[in-house]
Amino acid sequence: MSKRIIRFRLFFVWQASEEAHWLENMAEQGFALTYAIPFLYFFKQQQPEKIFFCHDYAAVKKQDLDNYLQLYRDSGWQPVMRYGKWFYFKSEKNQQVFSDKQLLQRKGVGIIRGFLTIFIVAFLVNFILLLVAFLLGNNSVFDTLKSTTAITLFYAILLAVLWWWRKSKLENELE
Amino acid sequence: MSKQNNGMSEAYSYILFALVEPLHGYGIMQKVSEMSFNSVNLGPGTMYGALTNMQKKQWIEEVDSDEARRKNYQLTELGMQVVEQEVQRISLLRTAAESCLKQLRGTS
Repeated sequence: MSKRIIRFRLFFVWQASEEAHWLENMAEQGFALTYAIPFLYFFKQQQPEKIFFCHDYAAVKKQDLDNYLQLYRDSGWQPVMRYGKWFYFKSEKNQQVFSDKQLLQRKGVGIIRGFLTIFIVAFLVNFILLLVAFLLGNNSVFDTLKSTTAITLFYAILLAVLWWWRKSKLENELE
Repeated sequence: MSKQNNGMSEAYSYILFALVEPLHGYGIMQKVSEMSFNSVNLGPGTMYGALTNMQKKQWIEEVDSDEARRKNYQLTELGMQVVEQEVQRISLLRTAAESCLKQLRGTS
């Protein structure tokens, strides 16, 4: 039975190379990445090896997944794992990771969208509770919920505008 | 379309110019490196992003390929028009650059 460990580690979206170096260090110590979710990394103990990592953040449709992964394989990167739009790859060769200027922008749009979803859900929950309070005739609760509903709606709209703006910028900037 | 390709990066121009025949993603990457004498080297992430964007803009489209894993892409009618615009833009740029150089050398 090989040992499995979990590490908590915070990397900001712009720290792609710091993360890669950390994963490379772990592999050199004999811990190979098996899975990653935000802030948590799962490793399996095995022979120490000198390998290189990179990640990508891309919206890949199901019917295009093979094509996408093959593009990475052709470029010398083996897929390790996928978590939603996050993809991790490894390579035995220390190949130049060509700068992907839009990677950071793609991650930014993704994060804005994540917050947008949270605020939409929060708004809906507040709104439903507001209706319930109204129907039950509970005035003090109704007044509190009125303001929280308004605040969540305000932020949801703000984030929606921001998201749409960043997304269209990303699609129109041909870099 | 019109002004949409203004400010297109070198990488995007090369991708369009590489598509004189249907090619898959990695094929385009290799051809762009070759055509640019290794001055423009695309990574897979950039390449995939560019392919997605160009498909959305309908400059390129997928064509049937013999390998299911590697999709082939070709220029659309619109894509060919963009190539023509690019040629015009670049020749204007070249004329301006050459005239600049001529005048600088003439006056020095």
